Amino acid sequence: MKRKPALAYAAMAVMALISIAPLAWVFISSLKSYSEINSSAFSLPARPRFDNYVSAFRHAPILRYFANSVVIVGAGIALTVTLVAMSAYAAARFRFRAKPVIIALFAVSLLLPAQSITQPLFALYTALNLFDTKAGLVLVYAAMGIPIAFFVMYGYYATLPLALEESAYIDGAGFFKTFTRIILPMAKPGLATVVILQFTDTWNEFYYALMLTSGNRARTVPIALNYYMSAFANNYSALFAAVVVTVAPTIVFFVVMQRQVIDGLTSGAVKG
Amino acid sequence: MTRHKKAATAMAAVTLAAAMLLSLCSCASVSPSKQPATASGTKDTDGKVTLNVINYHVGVDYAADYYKYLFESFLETEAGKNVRFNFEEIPTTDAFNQKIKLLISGGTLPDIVLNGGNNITELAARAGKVRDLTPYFDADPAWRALFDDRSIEFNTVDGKIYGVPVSKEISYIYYNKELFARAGIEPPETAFESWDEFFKACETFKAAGITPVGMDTADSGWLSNLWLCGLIATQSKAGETWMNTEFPTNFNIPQVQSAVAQLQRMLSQYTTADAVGGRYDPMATHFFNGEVAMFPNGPWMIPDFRNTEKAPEGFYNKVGVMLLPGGGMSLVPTPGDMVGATDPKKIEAAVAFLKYSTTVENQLLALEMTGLQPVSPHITIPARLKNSDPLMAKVLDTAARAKVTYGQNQAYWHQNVIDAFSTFLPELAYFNITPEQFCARLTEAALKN
Repeated sequence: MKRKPALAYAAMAVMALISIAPLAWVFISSLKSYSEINSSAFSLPARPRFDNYVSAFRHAPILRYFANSVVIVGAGIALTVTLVAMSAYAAARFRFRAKPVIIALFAVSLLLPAQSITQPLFALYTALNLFDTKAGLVLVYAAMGIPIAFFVMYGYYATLPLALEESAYIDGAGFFKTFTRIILPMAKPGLATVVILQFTDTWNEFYYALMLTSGNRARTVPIALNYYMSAFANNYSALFAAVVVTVAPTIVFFVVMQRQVIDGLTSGAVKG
Repeated sequence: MTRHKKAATAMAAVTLAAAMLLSLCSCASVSPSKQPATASGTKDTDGKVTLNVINYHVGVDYAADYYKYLFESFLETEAGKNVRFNFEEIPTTDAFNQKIKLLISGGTLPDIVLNGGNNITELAARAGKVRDLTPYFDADPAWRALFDDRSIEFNTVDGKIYGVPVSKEISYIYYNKELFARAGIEPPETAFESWDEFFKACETFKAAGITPVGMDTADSGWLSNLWLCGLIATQSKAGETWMNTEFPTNFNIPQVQSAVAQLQRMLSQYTTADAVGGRYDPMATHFFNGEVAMFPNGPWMIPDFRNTEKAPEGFYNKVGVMLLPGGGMSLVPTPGDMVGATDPKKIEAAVAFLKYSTTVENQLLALEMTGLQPVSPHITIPARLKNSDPLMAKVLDTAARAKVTYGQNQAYWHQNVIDAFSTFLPELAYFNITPEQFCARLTEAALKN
């Protein structure tokens, strides 16, 4: 068996360090006092202060907001992926009269800043009773993510060989069978990119989560983290503790499910 | 292939339509046909009036406990017994102001509009989203007498009173008695006589290996702006007048230019190495840790001196108070809370709450719990407060001896000028720009409004 060169191990160690260091820093900071955090960003706590976690729960409903985030972001991703997987395929593979206009419209919607459309969106949501609902945020997050996701998948489908679909049709597969059994499995890396982009964009989204909600039933983690910030009264210790509480479940989930996640990301890539 | 084409066409039509509808729905412009959740209604079925409030005094906000008490205790009063509150919480004033501005421009404001500053009073009044409270002040002379003319004037738009101020904002200098003793400097009873005397003390501190002053530049450069305001206001009558002018547009005047030159000197010679680019919190920690001799701020900082999470045990007793050189102190009225309700019953209930929030008892309680200075000029501070919080009592005593009072840039300057101030401070500190160029950039920003 060929031995891996030391350089490869060194590179992996650096990558691991880059990934782990911020998390370790946040965890260590969550055990420090206000004074320790502000005196030295990289020092260790004189004694670990686990009561920062008690303080984190006392100041904000973080678990409620975390649960909301999981539901809203998860549903937003599912909606985005479902629509984009199909619409980008249709646009990439078939010619129809309105195609250039439709693609141009998707491109134009990328240029709209969130602040410029808040007012009509607020009025629309109020009229449709979507204000302060999880469904409302799911829709707006999907709407925000679809244009970029569309172009990611549009480009990805264009790289898939047309011969595969033609072979499937010759073998008697129908359109939907070809799409679901042949195309979608091959598109997994592209879809994974969409999922990651959509997750990072919406998990940290603050503006719409604030403007389109008014209570605890639909508010998400970024708003909860604001509870620890205030002019002249920031509580960084509790803030870091809250970050740990909200990040830890996703890390644990990935560690437990990493084999399935990695298989899911790579299986489509080798089938072609 | 025809079958495939039909299927493909159907799929394309359905999914593209759905995707586009979603991605473009946010661009749709529609007239609001229903009111948002903050809308005023009428009396509830149980006869109680529900008042909607968006509250930013939540989480770790310095006044969170006080406002919790205020809302709860109001419900136990005669005026509040038939009232219930419906709260929306928005932590931090920045987020609160964003939401309020959205509601001003196209929604309905809550029945009680707490004021987070940022010129909201004028915006709301001109948009017709808040009620004129002048008749309520006229009908209750005893209530009107609680406020000085300046505070009322600050909350008046086009001759009508829209805001009920609950406090005043003052700032001065805290100093570390131990560091003064170590440097062999006798702290002045009220203030250094002049800035020359102040800078002489800074040199003495420096020679003793002690950092003289706390400063910052990030966010709004709060500490540096307090120094600058004092430098401008106390050097001449013209400077004092300029610092008491709201929304100035010309910074290219000798008083401001020379004050900026002194600020540049302080940033480059007399403060901590991390001040340039630094935020308020680490700078406050320098003061708590006894690393900085003088630190400008207001009374809301006093509870922190006793907070052992922030400051060492016993630090409270090491802190003294003085005014800025020449006896200067910033003193600004605060933007008052407003009434957004439209239903007469709700307006009555909201005004009753605002009256309750400004009773002498509650002003004193706010002082005790949060350091908020009473808005009423002639409130007698009870002896128990002097015993329980001697530093606060010293602040009140020292404040009364101010020779020069002036506005403060966060209250009086346009927001984009405050931003420009913070943006260009590092350039000034590193001598990449001159004081004159710094003032020119502030002027440029101000003229954009």
